[in-house]
Amino acid sequence: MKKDLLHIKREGLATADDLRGRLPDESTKKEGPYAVIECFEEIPCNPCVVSCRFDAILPFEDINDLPYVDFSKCTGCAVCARVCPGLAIFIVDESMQGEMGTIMLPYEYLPLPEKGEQVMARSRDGSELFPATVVRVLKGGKGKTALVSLEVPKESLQEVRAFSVIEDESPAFHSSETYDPDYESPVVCRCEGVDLNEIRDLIARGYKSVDEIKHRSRAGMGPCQGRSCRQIILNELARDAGVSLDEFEGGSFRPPASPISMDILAKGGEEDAENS
Amino acid sequence: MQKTADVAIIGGGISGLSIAFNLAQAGVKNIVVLEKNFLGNGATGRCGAGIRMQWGTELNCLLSKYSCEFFEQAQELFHNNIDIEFEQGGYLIGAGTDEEVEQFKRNVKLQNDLGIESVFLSPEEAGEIMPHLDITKIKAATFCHRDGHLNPFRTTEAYSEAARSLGVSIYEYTEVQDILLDGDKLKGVRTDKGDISAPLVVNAAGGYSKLIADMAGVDLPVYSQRHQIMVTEPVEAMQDPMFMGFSLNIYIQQVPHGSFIMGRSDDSEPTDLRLTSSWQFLEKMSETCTTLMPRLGQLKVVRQWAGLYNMTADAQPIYDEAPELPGFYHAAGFSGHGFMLAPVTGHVMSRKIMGEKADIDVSCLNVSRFKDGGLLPTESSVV
Ligand SMILES: Cc1cc2nc3c(=O)[nH]c(=O)nc-3n(C[C@H](O)[C@H](O)[C@H](O)COP(=O)(O)OP(=O)(O)OC[C@H]3O[C@@H](n4cnc5c(N)ncnc54)[C@H](O)[C@@H]3O)c2cc1C
Ligand code: SF4
Ligand code: SF4
Repeated sequence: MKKDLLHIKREGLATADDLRGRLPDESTKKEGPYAVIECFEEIPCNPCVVSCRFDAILPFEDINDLPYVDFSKCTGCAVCARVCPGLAIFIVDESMQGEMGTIMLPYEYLPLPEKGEQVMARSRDGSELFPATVVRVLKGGKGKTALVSLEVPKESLQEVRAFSVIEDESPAFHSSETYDPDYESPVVCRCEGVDLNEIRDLIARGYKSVDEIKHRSRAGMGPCQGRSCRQIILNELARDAGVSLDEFEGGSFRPPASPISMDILAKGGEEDAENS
Repeated sequence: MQKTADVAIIGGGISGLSIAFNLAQAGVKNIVVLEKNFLGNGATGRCGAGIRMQWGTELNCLLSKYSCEFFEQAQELFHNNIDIEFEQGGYLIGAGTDEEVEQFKRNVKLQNDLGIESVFLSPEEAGEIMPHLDITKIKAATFCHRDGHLNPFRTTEAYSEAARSLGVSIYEYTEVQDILLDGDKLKGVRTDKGDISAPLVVNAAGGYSKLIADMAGVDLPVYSQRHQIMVTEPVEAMQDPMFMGFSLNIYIQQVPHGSFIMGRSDDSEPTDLRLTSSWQFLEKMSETCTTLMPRLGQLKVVRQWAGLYNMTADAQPIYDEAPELPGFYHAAGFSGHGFMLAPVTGHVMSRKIMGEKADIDVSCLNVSRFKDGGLLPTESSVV
C-alpha cells in the first residue's frame, strides 16, 4: 500500500487529501455526472476497469492496482458502480443549475427506499448529516448492486457517502416476509458470487456460524476475505436466532491480511510500504 | 438431549461420521455423534482432502484402495445427491533422491500387484503431465490416474446427511467432558449438555483423542502436531493431478474453483494443540513451491490456516478396543492421512464394534503394538 494511504488501514476512512487526484476539476464537474472511486485497498479486483465501456478507468498493469478515473472520458453511466464489490464507487452530478446536486450511492439492504422518500444522509464514518430526498432508485439483481440517488446540496456532495432509512414506528428490521418473492436475491459475497437466498437456505438447514457458512458456500473465501459479506451473514444469523448481533462470533480471520505473491514470500517477504 | 444411546461416538469429523454411517447402515440403532464445535471443524475441514492409492506398504495400499473405490461410488452409497467433488486428476509423486527412486520402483511393483494402476515415470514424462513443474528438480516420478482429491466440507455433509437419514442423532456444540465409569466398567459420557449412558463409546476425537483417552483413564500412544496449509487466488485450470513429494516435502493441488492449495511438514512445528498460523510457514512453503514450480511464484497467497495431525510412532492409525476398558474404542492416530481412510475407518470400526469380521484384516493396527515392540514398518510415503 502506498505510504500516504497507510492511515486508511488503521482508521478505515478516506480524507480530503486522499481524494486529491480522484475528483475532476471545477469546469469538468459542471459538464455532467462523474464517478468518484474511493478504492484504496490493493486487492486483486478489477470489475470496474473491465466494465467501463468508455475506457474511462485507467487500465491496470497488475490486478492489484487501484482505479483512477479519466474524467475526460467518464460519462457517469454508473456501470462501474453497479459491479464494484467494495461499494466504493459513487456517481456525483452537479451539472444542474441551482443549489442542489445528486449523489448516487450503492445500497445493499432491503427493502429499497422509494422515490420521494426522506432518508438520513450519512458521512463516510456513518454519522448523521441531514435528511435528504430519494430522487431515483435502480433495483439490484443479476449480480448488480442497487443504486439510490439522493438530492443533496452541492457543497455536501463530497461528504455524503451513505444513508439510512428513517424508521417510523415499524420494527427495527424488516422480517423476511416483507420481501418481494420475485425480487432477485441480492448478492452477499461478490468475490465468490453467493447470494442471500443461498445464505438463508444454509441457515435454514441448520448452519449456525459464519465459518460453517463460509465452508459450505465459499462466501468470504475470496480475495477480499469477507470484508463485505461477513457482516451481512452475521446479521442473518442473529435474525434467525432471534438474538442480538453481539452474541455472534465473527468467524475466523485468516492471515495474510492482504494477498501477497509467493515470489515475494519466498524471498522472506521483503516488500516494504514504499515500493509495493 | 437424549439420555441413553447404544453407541456414543465422540468427534464429528470424517472418522466419527463414517463410523456412525457404517453402524447405522448395518442396522445398529440409537447412535449418537457428539461434536464440541460444528461438524468438520477439526482436521477434517482443514485438510488437503487428497485421496491416493500410491502407498509404500501393502496394508496402506489396501486400505486406501477400499476408500478410493468407495468415494468413486459415493453418491449411490450415500443415497443423497450431495456432490463431493471427487476430482480424479491423479497423483503425481516426485522422487527427490536416489533412494526414493529405488523405493518408488518397489512401490509401483507392490501397487501393481495389488491391482493399483500406477506407473513409474521419467522426469520428462512427469513434465508432460505437469508442464509447469521444473523437471530438473526431480529424479523420477510415479503416477496413478485414479487418485485425486475431493471437497472435505461436502464430503462431511454427505456423510452426516446419510447418517442422519438412517436415524443417527448428531449433536453439535456439545462437548464431552468426561467418560463415566462404574468401578472399572464403562457407563457412558458426560457432556456440557448432560450425561448420556452408553455401553459402547468410540473415541474419534482426532487431534484431541488423547485427552478423551485420558478422561477414560486408558493409554493412547498418540500426539498431535500442527500442520499448516495455504491457498492462492484462483486462476484458470492448469494442473490436473495432485503433486506430491516426500523428500521434496510438498503436496500441492489445484481445486476445481481454481485456487492452489499446498502444505508441507516441518519437524519444528509445535505439539501443544496450537492452531495458530505462522509467517515462517508462508515463507518456507513459498520457497519450496516456487523452487519446484517457478511459474506459480506470481500467484498471490490469500489465506493460510492450520490443523492437527494426530501422530503415532509408525505413522499408521489405531483401530482398536481399549484393552483396559471393554466397550471403549479408538479410531485415532491417522498421522495425516485419515481423510482418505474414512470409508475404511467406518467399515472396520463398525465391524469391530459389532463383533464381526471386516473385509480387511486390521488387527495389526492395535493399540498394544507400541508396547510390544510390534511397530509396523514405518510408511515412508508421507508428507
Ligand atoms: C493441514 C492438513 C492437511 C491434511 N491433508 C490430508 C490429505 O490430503 N488427505 C488425507 O487423507 N488426510 C489429510 N489430513 C489428515 C486428515 O485431515 C485427518 O486425518 C482426518 O480429517 C481425521 O479425521 P477425524 O474425524 O479422525 O478427526 P477430526 O476431523 O479432527 O475430528 C475430531 C473431532 O472431534 C471433536 N472433538 C474433540 N474433542 C471433543 C470433545 N471433548 N467433545 C466433543 N467433540 C470433540 C473436534 O472438534 C473434531 O471436530 C490433513 C490434515 C491436516 C491438518
Ligand atoms: S461511470 Fe461509467 S463511464 Fe464513468 S468510470 Fe464508471 S463505467 Fe466508466
Ligand atoms: S473494489 Fe471497486 S473500485 Fe476497487 S478495484 Fe474493485 S471494482 Fe474497482
